[in-house]
Amino acid sequence: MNKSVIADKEYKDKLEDNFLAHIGFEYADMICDDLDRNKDQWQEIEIPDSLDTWFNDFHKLYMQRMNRRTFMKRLMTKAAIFILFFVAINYFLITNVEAYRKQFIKTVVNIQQSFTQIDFIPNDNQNSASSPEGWDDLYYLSYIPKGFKMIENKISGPVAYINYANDKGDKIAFQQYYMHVTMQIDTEEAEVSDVYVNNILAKLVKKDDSKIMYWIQDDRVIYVQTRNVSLSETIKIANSIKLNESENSK
Amino acid sequence: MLALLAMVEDKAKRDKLEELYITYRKELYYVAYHILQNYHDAEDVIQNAFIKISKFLDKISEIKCKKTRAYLVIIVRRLSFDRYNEKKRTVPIDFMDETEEEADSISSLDDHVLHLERGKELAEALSKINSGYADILTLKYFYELSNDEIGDLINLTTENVSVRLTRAKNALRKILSEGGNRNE
Repeated sequence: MNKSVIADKEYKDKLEDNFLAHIGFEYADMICDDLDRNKDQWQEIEIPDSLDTWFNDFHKLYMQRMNRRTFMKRLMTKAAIFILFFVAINYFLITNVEAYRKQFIKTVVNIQQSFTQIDFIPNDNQNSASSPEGWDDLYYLSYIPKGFKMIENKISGPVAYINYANDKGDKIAFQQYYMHVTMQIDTEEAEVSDVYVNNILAKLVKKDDSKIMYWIQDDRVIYVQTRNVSLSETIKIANSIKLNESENSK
Repeated sequence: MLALLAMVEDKAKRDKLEELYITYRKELYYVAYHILQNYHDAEDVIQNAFIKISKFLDKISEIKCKKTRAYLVIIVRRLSFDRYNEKKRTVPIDFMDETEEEADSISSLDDHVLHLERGKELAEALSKINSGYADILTLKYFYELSNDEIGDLINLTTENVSVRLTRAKNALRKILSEGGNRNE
């Protein structure tokens, strides 16, 4: 069927619909005329009290239903405004306030038909880590896997180190040395390979359940050792290295 | 602001229902009683009608007008006939059972659509043959209700509404072809 035939049919259908609507209009008019002719009869008719009583009850129920619907609409509108406000403030804080970003909380918002529930759940999967106090102009790891806690940190001459451990006794050691220090790493029966940490070539030593990564970053040698931590996690930890710039150096 | 608007809208709906009842209860009760000849049945029908009307209040824009008045009468009348048939345990026999196909109806109606001055005459003729046909065509094309809405209002299935619309159109086609030569 070509376009002109379709357009022709559509036009005829519309014309027919209008024709039928016109008959409907005349018919509605006819009904009203009939009623007007019998006005005397229906005006005198007595409406039973029971019908009025029923309507009043029905009307009350109808109003209650409408009120409930209105209440729900208002509640949902308020909830939507609150959520928008909440998201906007969080977005602002997360993007502008360092401390807030570090203490990022996971927000679960459940909007259900009958109520709005907002749960604040402290994030157990907190993976971000901060530098220890006084760790000025030193590197630190901004990512530490779930369950690990800092157990020790120290700045001792040319060496600064932080040790982490979890409840199972697994460990992560992070050390940074100024380059004049000589390091010795046991590579006997170990698998040694090259990897990249933030586009810097690094050495990866895998031996038993231990993984060591070390590389040169600026004027320092960085050393990361994990025990019972997967390779991907070890690389992720290494890649999270950040410099904690002091106020003077900014 | 939105909540306030919603509240105002709902209040308007409530008032509309009440105003409809107060304005039209007498004539609607008369229509129902005229068909059923029984006060209790007429009362039941009015109750049922208002329950149904409350679901489609959006379809009513103005209270005191012919359009709304006829709309309510059609609903009450259809529900009354439905109640009547139910009580008599009869199945309504439609005027035209020979065909339910619409194949020719469009083209046939199309030949006559320009005879708008015959609208009143056609409406009368159709209602004399079967007021149900006139009612359903009016609900569909004048009040622009969907088949689902019509079915819900007058206790018919959507398929039944569709079949009756086809029959109504065929009845109209027959009226037009029988009276066609008169106007030429």
